[in-house]
Amino acid sequence: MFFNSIDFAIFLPIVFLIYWFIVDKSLKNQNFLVVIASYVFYGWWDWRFLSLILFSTIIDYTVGLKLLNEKKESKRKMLLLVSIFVNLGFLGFFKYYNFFLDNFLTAFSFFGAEIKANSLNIILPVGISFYTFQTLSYTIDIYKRKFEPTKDFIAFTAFVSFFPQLVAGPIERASNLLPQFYKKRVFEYHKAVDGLRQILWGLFKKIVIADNAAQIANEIFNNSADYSGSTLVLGAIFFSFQIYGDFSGYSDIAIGTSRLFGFNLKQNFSFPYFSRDIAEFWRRWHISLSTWFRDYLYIPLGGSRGGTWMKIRNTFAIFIVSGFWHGANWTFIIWGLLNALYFLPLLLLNKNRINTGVVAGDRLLPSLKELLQMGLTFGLTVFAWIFFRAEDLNHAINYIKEIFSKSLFTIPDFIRVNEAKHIMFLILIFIIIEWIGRLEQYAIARFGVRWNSFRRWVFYFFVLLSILYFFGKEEQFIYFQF
Amino acid sequence: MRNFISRLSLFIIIFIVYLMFVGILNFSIYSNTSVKLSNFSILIIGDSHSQTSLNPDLFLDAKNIAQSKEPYALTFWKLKHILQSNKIDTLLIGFSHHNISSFNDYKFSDKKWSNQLFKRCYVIEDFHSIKQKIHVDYFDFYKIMIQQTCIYPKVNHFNFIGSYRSHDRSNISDSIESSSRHYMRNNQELGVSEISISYLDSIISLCNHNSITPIIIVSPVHKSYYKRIPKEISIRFETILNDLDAEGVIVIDKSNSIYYDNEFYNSDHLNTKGSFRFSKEIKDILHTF
Repeated sequence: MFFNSIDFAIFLPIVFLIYWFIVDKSLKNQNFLVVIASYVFYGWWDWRFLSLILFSTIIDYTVGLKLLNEKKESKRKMLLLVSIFVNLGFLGFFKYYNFFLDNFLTAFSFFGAEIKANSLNIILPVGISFYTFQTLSYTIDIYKRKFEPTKDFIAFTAFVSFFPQLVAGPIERASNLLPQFYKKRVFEYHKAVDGLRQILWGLFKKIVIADNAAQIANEIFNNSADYSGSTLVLGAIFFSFQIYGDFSGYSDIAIGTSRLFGFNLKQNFSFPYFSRDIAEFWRRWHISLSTWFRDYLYIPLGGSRGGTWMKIRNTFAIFIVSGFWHGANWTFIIWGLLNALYFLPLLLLNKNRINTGVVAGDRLLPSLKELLQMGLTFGLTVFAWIFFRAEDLNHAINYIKEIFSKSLFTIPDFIRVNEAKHIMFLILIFIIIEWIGRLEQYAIARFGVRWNSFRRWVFYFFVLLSILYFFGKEEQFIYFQF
Repeated sequence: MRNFISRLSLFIIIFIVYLMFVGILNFSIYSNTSVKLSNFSILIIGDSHSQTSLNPDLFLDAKNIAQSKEPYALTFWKLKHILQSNKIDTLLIGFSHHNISSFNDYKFSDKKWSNQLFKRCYVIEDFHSIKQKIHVDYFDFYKIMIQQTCIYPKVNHFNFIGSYRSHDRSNISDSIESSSRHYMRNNQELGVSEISISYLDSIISLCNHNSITPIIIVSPVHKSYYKRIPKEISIRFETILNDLDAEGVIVIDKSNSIYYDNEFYNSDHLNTKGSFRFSKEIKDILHTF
């Protein structure tokens, strides 16, 4: 079930009403309803893969309890390895099997050996990369004695399968989300209103910005051989807004939906395109994944404590693995590698933590220096997105080759150029609203807070009208495929 | 909780009332207005083939209202609507092999085409005349109708009036893609669309009824595309052309004419250069009548 579908628009109010009017008296019933709703939500897409989530849940629940009672370090390690093996085993099989097979075959054929092996026609279970990482962090935290395992199986099942963030995050830590299943949720008016507002903004980002930008980005990327360098630059910019609107929109809907049910999820995006350097960008983009890799990969590898070479090795490791997490394609690996290269100078010059606050936090407009810094960072990001969006490395290289040709200095020209102008106007309005709201968790969190309810309602009214107007292109959320 | 539900309900009710109000307003606008095309005697209709191949500026007083992806059912509805308030002498009807392929039958149910077609036809649709034979996605249709009529009041609802489109580029490497889009579905060869053929007949009858001279125009396609047209379609296409000829309808068939590669936009459409040549040829032929 997609957040931008009619199915979800019917599903959500039904679950909401049952949750607050029928099962609101008991914690157990509330959690049980969350589990049922989550399994229906996921099963709507493909019920067969529910068994994977259930199996993963049972394994991590059992391993967690065993880790609590086990004193012997070697046995504890073994239990951790069981969890890692099962979770990464599923992920490896469903997501990376064909990739590794194809690359092994290519490598062997390079040395003259012909091996015959058939790749499998595997369907990638939606959200597997997200819930796998969520359950893994639970077991690792218990292993490190940072967190007490739960004995409440229903609460744990609800934590693993919590439908708002099950298929595309944010990847929650057990320390934040699981304890919320231990206490009965009580309805809070302001929290629910805030949740609805965030859902509205998430839908705007997805349906109005991302889905429209996708029309242009798809046209240009799918026919890139026909277009000039300047048009290709435009295609990459549209894709940048597509992926931001798409993924941060999803996160907003997920966080907002959780708030409707009395839960608080962590912020996943914090206005990344207003970053002044790449280090800041990565503190603001897909925060739940970046911090996951920081805590469970970068720090265990030694972080930035060792010498220069160790820092470089760890930085490349985290970015390449992050790229590979996104998909079994060399384009994602190069995308990760490119970001590591962007990040490296900042790390070596010890300048990766100079921009930690909000840009122009106490001013209406940025300074010229800040504007240039943001422009440069955005430009680097757009360039890296070309690899992320391209079908394969050849496509990306040809795309970039055309950009750096004479045709870069021509006026962009493509079939949907008029449509693109309208979408650019929408993006401009979007950037302005995001800029005004950049101090908040999401752009319209306190937008028009000084307005009376009539004016605020008029604003929501127009946002809703624009969503309805553009509804129907139904581009799938990009991060579902990861 | 009660406060939350009541305020949310109030917001939703206001929103729905607004949508209904604008919807009624737009309905009365398009019910009481008609398409007024400026003075001309030749009208060009059809889909992207007519749209890209016939440049109306090269004729004396012609107007090209063709639109891409248009099936004959929609062409018939729009012609019927236009004739209520306009007078024309000659109708140039684009006719190509793909127009009788049954891929046209999916255009009101497959999102690839339906969204765009519903956007154009909500004012003139006559679905009950086709729903026995082909599937219409009503859910999508009403969704698009709401988007087109309930969001804001607008004066022009005649999205079905197209115009000539020129393309300067040339890339004829898409013949496999184009032919499979026109003649294949799920790796199966598609047959003939009887409903498209009967709507072509209806267009001719409408012309006769309104004393309009219908002229069938078959525009050139690249040989790489032409050789991929399924036999069943080719045979039926020729039969229809012969039947029309026998009925006294003028037929100008250039599907097999030799046009240079650089006169094509892609394997089945002419570009600016090609349409210049083709339009002049058609104009010269028309002068002989």
